[in-house]
Amino acid sequence: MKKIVKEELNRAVKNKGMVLALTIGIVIAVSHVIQCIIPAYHANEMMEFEKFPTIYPLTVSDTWLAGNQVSLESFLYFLVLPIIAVLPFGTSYFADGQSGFLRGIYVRIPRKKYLQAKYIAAFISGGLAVVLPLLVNLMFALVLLPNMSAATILPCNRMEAVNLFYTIYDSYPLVYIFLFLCLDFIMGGIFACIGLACSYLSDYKIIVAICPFFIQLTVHIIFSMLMKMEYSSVFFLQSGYGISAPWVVLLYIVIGIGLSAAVFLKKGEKEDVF
Amino acid sequence: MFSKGKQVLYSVVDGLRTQKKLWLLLIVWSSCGIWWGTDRYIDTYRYFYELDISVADILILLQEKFIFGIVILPFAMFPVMKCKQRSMNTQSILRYGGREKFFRRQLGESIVYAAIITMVMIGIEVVIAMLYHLPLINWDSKSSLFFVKARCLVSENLWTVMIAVSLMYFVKLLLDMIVLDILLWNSKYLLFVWVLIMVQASVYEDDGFELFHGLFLIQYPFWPTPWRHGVVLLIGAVAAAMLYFAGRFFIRKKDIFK
Repeated sequence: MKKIVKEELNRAVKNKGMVLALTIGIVIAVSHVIQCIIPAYHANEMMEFEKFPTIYPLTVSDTWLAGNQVSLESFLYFLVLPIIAVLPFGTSYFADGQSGFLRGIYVRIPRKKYLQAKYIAAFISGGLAVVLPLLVNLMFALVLLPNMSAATILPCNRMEAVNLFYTIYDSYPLVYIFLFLCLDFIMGGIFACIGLACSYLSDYKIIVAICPFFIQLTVHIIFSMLMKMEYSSVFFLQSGYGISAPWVVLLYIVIGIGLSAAVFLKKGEKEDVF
Repeated sequence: MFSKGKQVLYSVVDGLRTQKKLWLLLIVWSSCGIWWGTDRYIDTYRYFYELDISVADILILLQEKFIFGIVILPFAMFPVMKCKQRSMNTQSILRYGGREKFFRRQLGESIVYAAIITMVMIGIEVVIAMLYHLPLINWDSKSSLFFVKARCLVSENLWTVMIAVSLMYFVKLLLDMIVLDILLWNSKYLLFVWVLIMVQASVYEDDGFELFHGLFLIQYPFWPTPWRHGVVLLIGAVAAAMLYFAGRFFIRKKDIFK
């Protein structure tokens, strides 16, 4: 099993899809640096903290890509997150079926092991594709902005005391950011695995690839219309928006992993590839 | 053998027929979005600001990014892609005797699809607004939303507003469909259509410079000076022509047998 997982992981990380996903992500992350982080650095430089001690500088936790949900790049990044997650390995099962690779592999190893390895590799590749551009942006923010507790009076983002992990956000901003990076990794992995589960839906690769995006977009639109923004993954994945309904996040994770694994593994075992 | 125009038309009709479930789903989905938007605008302007709002106002207001850019446009591109994908094969391109001729046919189909989607959306918007018993147009009244926004009174009819808004919808749809046509030749990058649509929906006014959804829309203050909207349409036409030539260049050496 370890050998197959290693092989699949190798395929998942070293491919053109990963390069494409990272390119999209890093373009958005760097444009956020140019649009928001560098101006924030200049704003901090211009502030006369000695003269006006009540002024608070712009910090890493309220300025980085996921820290401030009002910027165009933040909204865009989390809107196209399923596309970024699916690109590396989300459509690989479909592509393996089309190329005949599946027939070759199924005569050598048990289906179940191969499907499990594929699921793990897709999950990790999706998570990595989502988290790496965020890390690049965070590095820029750490270089240019102070890493200290964010302003609590007149905050720059939507963080409120009722949000989950608020005390951590207030005391250890980097730990709070790390927790959200983990959550983004998990959701990226889930979207990639939804792509795998959608492999049985169509004969066209593009439809398999676009499914997770449409699922997230539909959910986002419905919750926006119901004025329940905190239930949309476009918002709760951003550390600057915070989590005010933890059970919703838990539901997303349980349903996402449970349903995608059940559909992909069960259907994969029964599917006739010969 | 049919004329080229008829071939395009029959191809579109065939696409509409084969993907009828998807088209129906799009109509239902868009109707929900339009109904939600109409309800929200009536709440805001009639009950909060106490202004008289008309069907024409609803048409203008529903051009906003969330309704057209996020609720309608990404979902509208999906059935269009499904319909076009069927005809995108080596045999069809060979039958047309050249890539450019086939690309022109794709463009013709896009024009028809954009026109149909525009007409359906405008139709749904008018019907839903009329269900709220709104007057068709009241831009000659001082208690109208138009007077507050444009600071003048005009006597217009609903048809003029419908045509103006339709033209803007048509331009937006056509531009995205030309990008789709180009990327259909390299389906690996087809996902970029939706990335582009999301970029268009995310960008906002920057230093007074409007982009896509902020540019291709009918605005109240510009209504008394229609040439401004004419310039916007001209920009759309130039952008479409540029995309067409870029597409021709892109497909010039494309290997159709791969």
